[in-house]
Amino acid sequence: MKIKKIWLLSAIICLVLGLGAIWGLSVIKEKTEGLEDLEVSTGKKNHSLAYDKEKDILYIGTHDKVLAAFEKGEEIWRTEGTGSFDELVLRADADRLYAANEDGHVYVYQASDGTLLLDIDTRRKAVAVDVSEDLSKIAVITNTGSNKSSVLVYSAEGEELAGKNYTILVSGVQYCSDGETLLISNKRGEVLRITEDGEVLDTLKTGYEIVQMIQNGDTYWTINRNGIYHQFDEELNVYRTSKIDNSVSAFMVSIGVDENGEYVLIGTKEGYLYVMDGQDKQIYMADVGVRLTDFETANGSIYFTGYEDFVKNIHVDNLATMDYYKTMERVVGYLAYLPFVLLLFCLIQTFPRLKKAAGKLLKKMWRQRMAYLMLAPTFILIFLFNYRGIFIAFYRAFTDWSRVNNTLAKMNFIGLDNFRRILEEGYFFIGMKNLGLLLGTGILKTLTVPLAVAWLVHSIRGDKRKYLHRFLFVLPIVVPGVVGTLTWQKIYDPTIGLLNEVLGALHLENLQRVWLGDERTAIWAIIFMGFPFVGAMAFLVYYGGLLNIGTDIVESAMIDSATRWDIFWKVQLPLIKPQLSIMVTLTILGTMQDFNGIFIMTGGGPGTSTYVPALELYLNASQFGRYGYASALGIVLMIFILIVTVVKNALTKERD
Amino acid sequence: MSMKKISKRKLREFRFQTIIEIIMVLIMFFAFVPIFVMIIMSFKSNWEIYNNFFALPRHIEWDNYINAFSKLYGSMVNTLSVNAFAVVLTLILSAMGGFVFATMYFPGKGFLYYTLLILMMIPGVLSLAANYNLIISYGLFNTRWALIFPWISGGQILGIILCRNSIESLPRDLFEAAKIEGCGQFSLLVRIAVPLAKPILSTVAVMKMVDYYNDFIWPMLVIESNTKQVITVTVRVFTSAAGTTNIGAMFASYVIATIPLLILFLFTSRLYMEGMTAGAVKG
Repeated sequence: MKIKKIWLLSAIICLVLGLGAIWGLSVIKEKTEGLEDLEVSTGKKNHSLAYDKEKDILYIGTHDKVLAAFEKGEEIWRTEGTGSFDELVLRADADRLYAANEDGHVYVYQASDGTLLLDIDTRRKAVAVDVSEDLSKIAVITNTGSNKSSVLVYSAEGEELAGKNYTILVSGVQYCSDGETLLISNKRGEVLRITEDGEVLDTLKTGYEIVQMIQNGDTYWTINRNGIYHQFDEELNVYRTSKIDNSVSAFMVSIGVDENGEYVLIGTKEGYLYVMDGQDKQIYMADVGVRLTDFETANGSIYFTGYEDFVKNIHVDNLATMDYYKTMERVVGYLAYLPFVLLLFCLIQTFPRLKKAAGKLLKKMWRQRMAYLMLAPTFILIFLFNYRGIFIAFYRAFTDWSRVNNTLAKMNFIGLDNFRRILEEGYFFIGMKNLGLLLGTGILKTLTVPLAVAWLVHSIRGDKRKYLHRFLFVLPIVVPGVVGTLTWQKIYDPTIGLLNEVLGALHLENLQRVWLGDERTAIWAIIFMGFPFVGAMAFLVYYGGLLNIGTDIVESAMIDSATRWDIFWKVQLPLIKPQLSIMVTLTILGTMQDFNGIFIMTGGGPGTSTYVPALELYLNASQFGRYGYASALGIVLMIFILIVTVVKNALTKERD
Repeated sequence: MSMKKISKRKLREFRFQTIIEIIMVLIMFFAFVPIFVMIIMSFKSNWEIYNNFFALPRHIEWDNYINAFSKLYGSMVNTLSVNAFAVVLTLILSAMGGFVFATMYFPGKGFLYYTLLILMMIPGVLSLAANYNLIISYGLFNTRWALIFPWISGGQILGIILCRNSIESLPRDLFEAAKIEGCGQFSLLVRIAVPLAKPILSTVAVMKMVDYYNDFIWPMLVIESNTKQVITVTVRVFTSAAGTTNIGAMFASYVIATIPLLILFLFTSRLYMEGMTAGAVKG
């Protein structure tokens, strides 16, 4: 009796320990997060940032014409330009905010309330701006087209003082401390120190297109498109330079540094964020999913934003310890299971009958340990690479899981919203219409030509000839699916495609089409792909079925002067019904999941004319990063597959 | 039966054979059209393609092949080695799993087997987004393991089922006798089951080689570096890179991408066909 109580008590302790471990895990997880969302929302695609450290005011310039200011997360004012706000420069001491806008203006606002103080018409897209220390002069970079830039200097009243044109894109401008000379960076990879009239005093060659130049304290930083970064002073003495490990050929677009100029943050067009420590070692990488456009140094952390409605905060201090916490997370993660295993053990010990049964089972299992050992790799694999994914898909289909909300902490349960969206966004129905068409024609294809070919080959006299024909009919299967599709794509090519050439040779020019580029023909071009539809697998399955029937029945029927036609319909066809049924099932399963052909041929286009649900799922999972939505689509597809197969089985059963 | 009747039947048979031969040659011709297009175009220069579309190549452009091969060489080597490695692992897992399920009795056997069978009925697209993110969280993104693990994990299932059926059909006395002689489970597997299951293992091998070789969407999703990419993805370089620059080389790259499977088919055509139908017959 007493022992029982001890077991029960230890069970309770285990439970507490286990729950404690889970709680500890969530605490550690926060430390490994590194990125934190700021509670500010412009409702637009953001572009540029400015931050007032004293008052904790964050200014956000957006791609969609809005400029907004947030004090401690609360919006305090908002104004509008007519183009994208590409760069913001804040002079907090003077209460001034300078904004370069692509609408061809530089706006100067009163930072505290957003009053427009000055509007400088730069005539062309203003992409970068800087102000001299005494605020007496404003330097602006404007771009026209892809290779023309100007460096313009205005007085504090908006009067144009100087201007110089370049036949190369200039990406950034910074005033030097003397208030007379400027640093500009260009697409050729040069940083030039120039006078306001454009006279070049000094040049720094970085070797590759510079995409952004920023100032941090007394030094300047540039980032090149390929991942090289430089730190230098206004005399163009380079202090630090390195290149990030860019094995994925990402396209750099922005750079940020922390207050001490130690950590370097680099953002790419694809949405990767790289962080380098003071020794130029890459310590962190994250996939945010959208083009990262601007970084802003804050107190102990760095804010950044990109082409989406978000501003994130990265705690550089955490980054240094992140590896440590990540290991800890893993260790604690595994240890957390232990109390629960012990809990089970204690509970079993508490009840004698359970104990007996468990002991027996364990003994049996121990005797067969070899079986479990040999199956272990198999089941570890299918757990990690099959079942986990399926479970995740099932429960995260009900959350707003996306590339941005990619941790459990950020995911929100949104019920059936994803499913509602599937119905509302409309792509699904377009897709279903096409899928219906593909299913119908697909089933028709499997039931006709392969069957006919199988029957023809089966009717051949002579084993050698039979073998040769079978071989030749199966041979085209060696062409990999992708290659076959690409070839068909070329056959449909409007200028060098076989189809149009044949029509031209037959003087049927009026039938020539841009087959894949026309909404009316694209889906039919895809259906027609693979003509004459000798599906090798179906052919072999039917052929095997016909062989199984044997020639005896056929020959004895022939002697009874039955025609081959009758024999086919009355003897052979009924006997290979199971094979037909299997092939129809496989066709349904295959067609509903397959989108390789469409992906390669048209990518769903033109417009949405060749969309199918599986393609929509793929696009959401890969390009749009809407994982929750993609999972919900997966569930819908699975249910459809189930329904169609059940209906199909019911129909075939009835006929039998 | 008179001679006349027999010869009349023979005549009818001959006529029938001729007719079906004509039909078959016609179908075959159309089925081979894409392959003809591929091969003929691969030997033509751009000029010939634009000006003399239907003519056979007047001057054979080997340069197309040199050009295509130099671009695809790396991914071809990569594809074949990753493929071979994955196939070997699949075979090991299939043989081991099939053997255990066929010869051993242990608690949970039925349950474990059903967890395998159920996977065959769940469509792969369901968990596409989830698996993609799992690969990232396992730290496998953009590594060759991102291909190998999911391939063998999914590929072993049919392999285990086929191996189980094959090993189960062997006489049980064989295993009993060996056990009495002191053979352990593992040597039973290696010395008896695997040699006798060789036919089905070779079928699985060929089937999986073809499957893995043809995979396209998954590698595109999880591999970003060109050096690690498989050929079905890289073969599109000529297509995506500015359309019409070198059409002949583009078709040459298609031919090159087809060659490994062609060789496999020529040498193992029986296994190849068996592998194709195995899924339908057992599934």
